[in-house]
Amino acid sequence: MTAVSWRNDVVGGLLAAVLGAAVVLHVRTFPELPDGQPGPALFPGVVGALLVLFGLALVVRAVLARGLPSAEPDVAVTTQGRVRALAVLGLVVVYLLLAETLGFGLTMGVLLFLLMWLLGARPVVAVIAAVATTGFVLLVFEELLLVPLPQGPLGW
Amino acid sequence: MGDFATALGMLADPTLIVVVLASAVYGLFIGAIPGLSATLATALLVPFVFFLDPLPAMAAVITMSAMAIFAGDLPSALVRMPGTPASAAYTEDAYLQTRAGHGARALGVALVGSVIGGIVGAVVLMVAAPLLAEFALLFTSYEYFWVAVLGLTASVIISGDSQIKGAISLLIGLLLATVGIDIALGYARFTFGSVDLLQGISFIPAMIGLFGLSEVLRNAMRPSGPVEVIRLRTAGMFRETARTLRRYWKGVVSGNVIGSVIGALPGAGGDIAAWVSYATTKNTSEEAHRFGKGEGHVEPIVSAGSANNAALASAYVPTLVFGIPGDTITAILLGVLLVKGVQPGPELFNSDPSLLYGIYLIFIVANLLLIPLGYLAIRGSGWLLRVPPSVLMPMIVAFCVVGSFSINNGYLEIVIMLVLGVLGYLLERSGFPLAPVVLGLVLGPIVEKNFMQSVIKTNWDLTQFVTRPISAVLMGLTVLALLYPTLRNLLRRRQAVDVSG
Repeated sequence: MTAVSWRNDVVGGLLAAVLGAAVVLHVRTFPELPDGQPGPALFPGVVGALLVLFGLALVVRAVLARGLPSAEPDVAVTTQGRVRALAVLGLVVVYLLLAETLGFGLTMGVLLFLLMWLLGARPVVAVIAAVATTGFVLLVFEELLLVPLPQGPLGW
Repeated sequence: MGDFATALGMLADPTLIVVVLASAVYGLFIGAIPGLSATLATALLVPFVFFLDPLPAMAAVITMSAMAIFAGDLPSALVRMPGTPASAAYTEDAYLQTRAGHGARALGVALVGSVIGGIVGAVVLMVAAPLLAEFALLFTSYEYFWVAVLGLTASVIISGDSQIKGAISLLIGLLLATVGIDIALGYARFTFGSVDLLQGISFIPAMIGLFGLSEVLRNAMRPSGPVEVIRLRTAGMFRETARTLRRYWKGVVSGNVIGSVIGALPGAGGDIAAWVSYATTKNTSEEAHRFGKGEGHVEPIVSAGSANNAALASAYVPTLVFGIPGDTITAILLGVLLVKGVQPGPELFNSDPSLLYGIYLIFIVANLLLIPLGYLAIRGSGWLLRVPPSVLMPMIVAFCVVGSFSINNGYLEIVIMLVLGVLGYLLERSGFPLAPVVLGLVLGPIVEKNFMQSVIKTNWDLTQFVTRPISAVLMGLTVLALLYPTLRNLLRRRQAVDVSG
């Protein structure tokens, strides 16, 4: 394993163990069955305990294996890649914030154009593709499947 | 026979024919795009099929996935990138063959092998499912508890190099499944005051996030450069394909056997079947030294290219008989069927045989349809591969958003999709497999429901889980599955000692 990936496993294992411990503590507030047997707490409790167990096991294994060479090389993530991924997430978040006020068509159309453009599509191509996708979704989901997509001041 | 006639009549439905053709084209397209898997195609298809009756819904998924798994071979051969993970095992051979001028033969073999695999898997389904269903009628809540536990265990054991990571993936899925009203007391677990979360994590948006958005994120993070597509000459393709398949008929047999068996295991799909088949062919072939080197070799394409399609069909055996999904595609389908109120299980074989005949027929039709459509896709593959990701990825994000919203017309579903998309990306990037997450999400409620029903019924008499004969056998199998990695390591060590000694 490379220096990066064994540390990744330590972090991943610790996160799993902490999550499991939090669940185990939280389910103690759940009610019991009338006869005093565990009810709603049993299943998540067991899952939480096992998460602690396997999380710690992963940490131990990663620490023990830290000197060994990695089977798969870690492909570096570039800053540009991060920006692109954040832009993808940004589209969803901004849509959540604006769709109800501006309506589906306007919000999605503009966001799609911006994301395509940012990912490297030529502006003309991006405009055509964004309008076509938005139109297709409106046609199929709203007209055919009768999904009430958010309507803005323009009615679509 | 009356049910069979009814099923035939159901196939003549114009809606169904349109649905099958549209999902076929869609499957070929998504499958051929490197980085977009058949599971993503299923997740994005679900919002559409959600509005259909059970048979057209299943027909759409069956046709689409058969097409997508074959289409995954196209970019393997032409640009050295597997279109879906199921083609990854023999990508190198397919590409080297194409570069050496044998591309049409490689893709012809992949196409006809896929059709054979799909039909063999379907025949395995037709024969094995009714027999197992007869047996499964004896099951009570104890046995269903163990079957689900066995399915969960198997999904971890076969999750590859790191079973610890597979187990953590599974536990995350199980934990997500506990959100919402609990089965014993109706107590709201992990809802943190949200009324919308009382129903639990909505399954379809979760799948769209885990497999749709996460794959877009991965693609955005590591954009592939412009691809150079090799030109194909397809003259005489089918004649040469037939000759090759005759020559390597043993590979066809072994690929189909391996694919059918692995596909029926819970959580293991076409990708694992293809890897196992590739390794087996390499171990038994006299020409193994040519695999993956020089001009590549067509033999692993024969066997592994069949194995992945056979696995695709036989994954429906545990799905239909026990309600335990055989791979991620059937896991998503199972989730959809449950939402629609169809509970797969042995009762289905008595209560709705025409639906089952319909499913069998769809498998045959879909695979026969693959011959002409697959041929057209080979001819048009150069065009298919030139769709720019900068346009395609945002379109997929739009469908992720609208698809999640359409399930319940709610924004919470989009948030669930977003959160699970990021989670799926982070898990996959850190080497945690996603298949166990889905299995945990689908099977978690089944395990808990059957356990609670059993213990409340008998006032916490836990001995019933062990002493009932079928329960005991299923428990034994679970223990065996748990011990399997250790046993295998011991055997390998002994073999190593034998060789060196």
